Amino acid sequence: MEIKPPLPVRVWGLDFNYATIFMSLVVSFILIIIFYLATRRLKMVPGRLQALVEIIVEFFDNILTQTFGKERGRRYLPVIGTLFLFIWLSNIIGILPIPHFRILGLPIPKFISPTSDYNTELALVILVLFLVHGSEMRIKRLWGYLKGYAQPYFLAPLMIPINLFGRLGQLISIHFRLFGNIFGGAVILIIALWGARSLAITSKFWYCLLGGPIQAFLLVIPILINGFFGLFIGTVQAFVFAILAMSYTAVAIVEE
Amino acid sequence: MEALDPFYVKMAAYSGAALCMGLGAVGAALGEGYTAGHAAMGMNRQPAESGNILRNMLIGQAIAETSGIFALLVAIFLVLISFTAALPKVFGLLAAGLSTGFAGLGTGVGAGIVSADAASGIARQPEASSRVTLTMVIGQAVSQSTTVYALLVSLILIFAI
Repeated sequence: MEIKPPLPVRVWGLDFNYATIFMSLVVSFILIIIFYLATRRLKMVPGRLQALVEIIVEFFDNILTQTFGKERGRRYLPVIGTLFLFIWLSNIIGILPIPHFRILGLPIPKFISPTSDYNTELALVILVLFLVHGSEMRIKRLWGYLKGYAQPYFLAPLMIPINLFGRLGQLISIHFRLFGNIFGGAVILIIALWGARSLAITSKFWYCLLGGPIQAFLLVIPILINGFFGLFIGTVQAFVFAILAMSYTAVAIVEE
Repeated sequence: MEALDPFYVKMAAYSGAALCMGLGAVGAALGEGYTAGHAAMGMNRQPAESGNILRNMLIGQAIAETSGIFALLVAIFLVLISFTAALPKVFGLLAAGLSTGFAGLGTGVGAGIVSADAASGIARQPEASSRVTLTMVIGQAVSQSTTVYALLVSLILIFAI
């Protein structure tokens, strides 16, 4: 048994992970379509879809306005909300058991979470880097931003490397945590499926030992693992990513 | 470099996997159990807020579980991948297990303490529950950064040396 990464496609001498890119596009299109349909005809008394979308938006609106204040919170709401929605849907789309197939010659990959590929996290953390440091530079200006690394000033030569590593550590922890959780879930699921298959192959032994119904129940375990990692851990980690991006920004733009 | 008996590499990988998962499980279990205990006490004090406390407990436990998941990931890699037989690899594999294992031991307990106190905090002052949950998530995530670094070191030790 071995764990294979998705096969890359070679274009112009560069490797592209076809499955990851395809699934990211699928996630983006699903989000765009849901939010387009929900906000097409806004009503005072919301319909079912509009109510669902309003719950998510209001939840983040509350958190952001509490953290940043009314005006600034509204400015950061789109980016933080989109980060959450994209990562959330990316995490839970992997639980759909859809195999590899073709439509009109276009290969549709096996459904995987785009977030179980490290490249997606790398893209996300570059976005967070621009969000945090960009908004700090915009509010404190370049000189104020650079001065921030030397604080407190009386220890400046010591504090500059410490602050640099601190800021780098923030970025490493935010994206690697997400990758570790989602990739860990994917690996554990593969192991569980492998176990279930060997259970089905050596069924005579297990049948004598456990009896049919218990054996059938053991085959359900991969489904439970899938649900736990996809729905529960996936939701919590998407929330953690968005909230961490928000609090890094909030700490960075605090003015003395 | 003279060739090494693959037996030693396997031995190092297996003991590294066992230490990693064992220590990581101790940390995550202590933290999660502590959280559940405090949540139960909080429900005793404020039965009306049971739903709120339960939700907070589940979120906190899911984050405290991270160290256990990382330990399991490293343990699975150590057991399933076949490594080249060389002397540095032996120490590298053992060290990879110890790194994530000890980090998981600490951060599992640490994250558990945070969510346990958040549960009692909500029981004492239910109207602050959304602020408490938010602070808990941020605090747990930051306190767990060290496990993430340890996982990074473990993966480098496994794949890059």
